[in-house]
Amino acid sequence: MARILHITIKDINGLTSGTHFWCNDLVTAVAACQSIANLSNGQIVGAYLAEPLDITQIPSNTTSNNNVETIKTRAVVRLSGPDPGSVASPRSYCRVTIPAPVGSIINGLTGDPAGALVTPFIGKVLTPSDVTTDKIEKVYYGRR
Amino acid sequence: MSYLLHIEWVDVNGETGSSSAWVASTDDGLTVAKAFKAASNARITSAELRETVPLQTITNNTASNNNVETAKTKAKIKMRGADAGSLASPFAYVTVGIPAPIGTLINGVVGDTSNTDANDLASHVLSPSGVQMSSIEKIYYGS
Repeated sequence: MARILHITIKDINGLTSGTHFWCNDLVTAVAACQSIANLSNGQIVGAYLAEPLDITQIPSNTTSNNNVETIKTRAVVRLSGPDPGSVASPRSYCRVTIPAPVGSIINGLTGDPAGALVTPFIGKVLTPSDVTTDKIEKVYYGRR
Repeated sequence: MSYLLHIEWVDVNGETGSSSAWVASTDDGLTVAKAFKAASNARITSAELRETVPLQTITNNTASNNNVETAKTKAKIKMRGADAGSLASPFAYVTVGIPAPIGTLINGVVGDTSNTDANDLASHVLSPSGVQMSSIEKIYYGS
């Protein structure tokens, strides 16, 4: 599976720029980054491989005007998971934001953390420290 | 290994936005994308899984002022690979931009196509149709 390598480069003045192209795998991507570093006076400050997701498998993937909210309004779902490595901070947290949320997720100050539309995120979403989430802490409104 | 799921949206008014979440696998990426869609009145226009490339093994990865060019000036390396599948267009091409290029890559209207690092880069690059690049056609300035 070929993937797109995105590279962000910063020059000596702090100006940033990007470049991207297709490559085969992570090993190739690291080698390509080395070639780019050899060819540039800038510093590579970030690089990732992007794999397109097959969104044709997502059912009912259409827009609707069933709710008053536009894409600027979001339902924020705050999730948490156990963090066995730290006694001082025993939980690890993350948030996912859902643009133009349906009314059954949130229709007031807060939404139902046990709602059928938010619980599928549990166990599938990781925190930035790679902890698998096991609980929804809160559902509330946010903005982009 | 975890991936950053990045989703682009459009709502019924045509306004666009994005969301992201970390997931453990490509299968989980699709499951979470479905959960996102079920929870939103907007339509997913694209989604991708991002895997971070480790940079700590990259040598010579420092910014220097050895050349007058900034990151906005790029050396454009046009590469070519064989395309056995099409007689009408017998070669596949890719152009890669190198921000703040070093002087030995390009220092005039065109650069040296035999540059070792440029050719090494070509050996790691595929065309959008998956063809392996095998030679350098031209090196020139762009932005």
